[in-house]
Amino acid sequence: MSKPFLRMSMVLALLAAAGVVGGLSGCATGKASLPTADALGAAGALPRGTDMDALQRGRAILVTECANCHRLFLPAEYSPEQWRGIVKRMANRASLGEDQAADLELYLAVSSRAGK
Amino acid sequence: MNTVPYPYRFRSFVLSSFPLTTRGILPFAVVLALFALCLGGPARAQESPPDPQDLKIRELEKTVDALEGRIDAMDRTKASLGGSWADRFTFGGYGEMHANFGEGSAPDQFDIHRLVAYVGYTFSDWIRFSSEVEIEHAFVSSESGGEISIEQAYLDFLLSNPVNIRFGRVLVPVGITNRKHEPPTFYGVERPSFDRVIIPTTWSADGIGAFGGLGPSLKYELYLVSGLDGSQFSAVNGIRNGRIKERPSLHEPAVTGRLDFFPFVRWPGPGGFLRLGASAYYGGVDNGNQGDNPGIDGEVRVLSGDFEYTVSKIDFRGAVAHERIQGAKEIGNGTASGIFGWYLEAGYRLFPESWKKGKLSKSDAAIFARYEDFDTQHRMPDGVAKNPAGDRREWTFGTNFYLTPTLVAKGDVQFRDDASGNDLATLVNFGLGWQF
Repeated sequence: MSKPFLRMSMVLALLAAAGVVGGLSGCATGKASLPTADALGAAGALPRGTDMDALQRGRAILVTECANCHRLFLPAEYSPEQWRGIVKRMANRASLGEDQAADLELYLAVSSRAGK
Repeated sequence: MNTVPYPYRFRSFVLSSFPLTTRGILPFAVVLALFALCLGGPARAQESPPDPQDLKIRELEKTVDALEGRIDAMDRTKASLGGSWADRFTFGGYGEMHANFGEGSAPDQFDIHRLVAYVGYTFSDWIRFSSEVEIEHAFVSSESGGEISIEQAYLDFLLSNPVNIRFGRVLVPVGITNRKHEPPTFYGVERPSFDRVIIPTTWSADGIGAFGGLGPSLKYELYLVSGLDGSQFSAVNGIRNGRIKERPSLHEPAVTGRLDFFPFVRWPGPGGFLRLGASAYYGGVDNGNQGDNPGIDGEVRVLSGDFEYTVSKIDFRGAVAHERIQGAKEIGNGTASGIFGWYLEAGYRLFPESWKKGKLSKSDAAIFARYEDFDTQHRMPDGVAKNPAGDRREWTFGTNFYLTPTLVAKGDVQFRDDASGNDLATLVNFGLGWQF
């Protein structure tokens, strides 16, 4: 293996190790800040009758659509009221359908409330 | 004409600014420093135990929130289907202003680099128009470097999650920055040089294609678009000048697409966000403006991989691309038959939570380091001499200070080097960028 290739491989390995160790050591707040629908349910953060499938879809849209065009804003960074306005503005720009926007807004509102 | 694939070769980097003994360990030192900051610095989320007296109130608030969300969604549906004409428009934009300083004879300048307007219109709940019109460098004339251009103008036909149709001028979906280029979304005053020379952002093309989701964790884009003008390829700028921004020929169209995999959609992995992307572009190069084709027999193929990973307050990002140009010898201009480059970047958001009060309640700050290694003369056609100025490396160190999440002040320093032995000027840049 050539030295330059070895150097790039080591940089990559170190980046990966930093990320994994950071996550495992509790440095990451990801689990708490971007909760799954199941985690929200287990934490008792869901209003009665919440559509779990809609919550799961909402989380998927946040990760795949929103973060595709700008950095990932975590639910706790804004209040449910603020998210409502943000989703209203951004849904058209991201070509989200009405159902997708509703799922996203539901996930953000519930997760935002749970994160406070 | 060389059509035989060959193995990627990674070029050693040389930083004349640093002593020889420190060159090899410098990348590791930078990454280690950032990692140490992660372990020592980030404020952990404090999960305060719920106050029993507020439990009932919170439960009611949650229920009201959910109901309000549904009512708003119904309102939006009503607006999109039968709202007023004005309600169907969306407006937005972004911009960036830079101050660039260079060592020696390098120009010191103020540059209103980009001023961009988005306009969208919702024809129905499944047909939408989006556009992006841009002014670069403040002044446009036959003698200036400024330009006005339509970078995006397309109609989306939203049919189903797996298959939607897009028609018009679209962003070629290769790499990271070409699709995600608003100033608050990247570190550094200027876009990475990799994204100027290897993947020539902003790279638009006219055509038709499909996009959608193949399950919750996998997304795709696939387009048939207008091709590049091979006669404008060059030794140092690679394929960059081959973009046709006015009326591109459809003589030799191209196929381009990408796949993005999001492994943390289904399960909460280490960190909040991970995206792994692969993209490609393949097409002929006998294209010109207004149908004036250059008469070149050749093809260009671009293969690229990229990733973005956020774990706690650390952001990682990187991209690699290889380009093979058939007919490079016929094109001339010192055009290479192979172009190759990559970059890796790490940033750490270090703004203390305790400072996020008052006017700074939505502020953030980050430091970052980026290393780029790219060579527009990676492999040459038989009998064509290599121009060593195409073989470049760059280190960029800097900071982004987000006054709000979509308004950022930036500063950085860039150490540059190439294989020609010329002493490239160190650059210091300051900038202000926004998105709305």
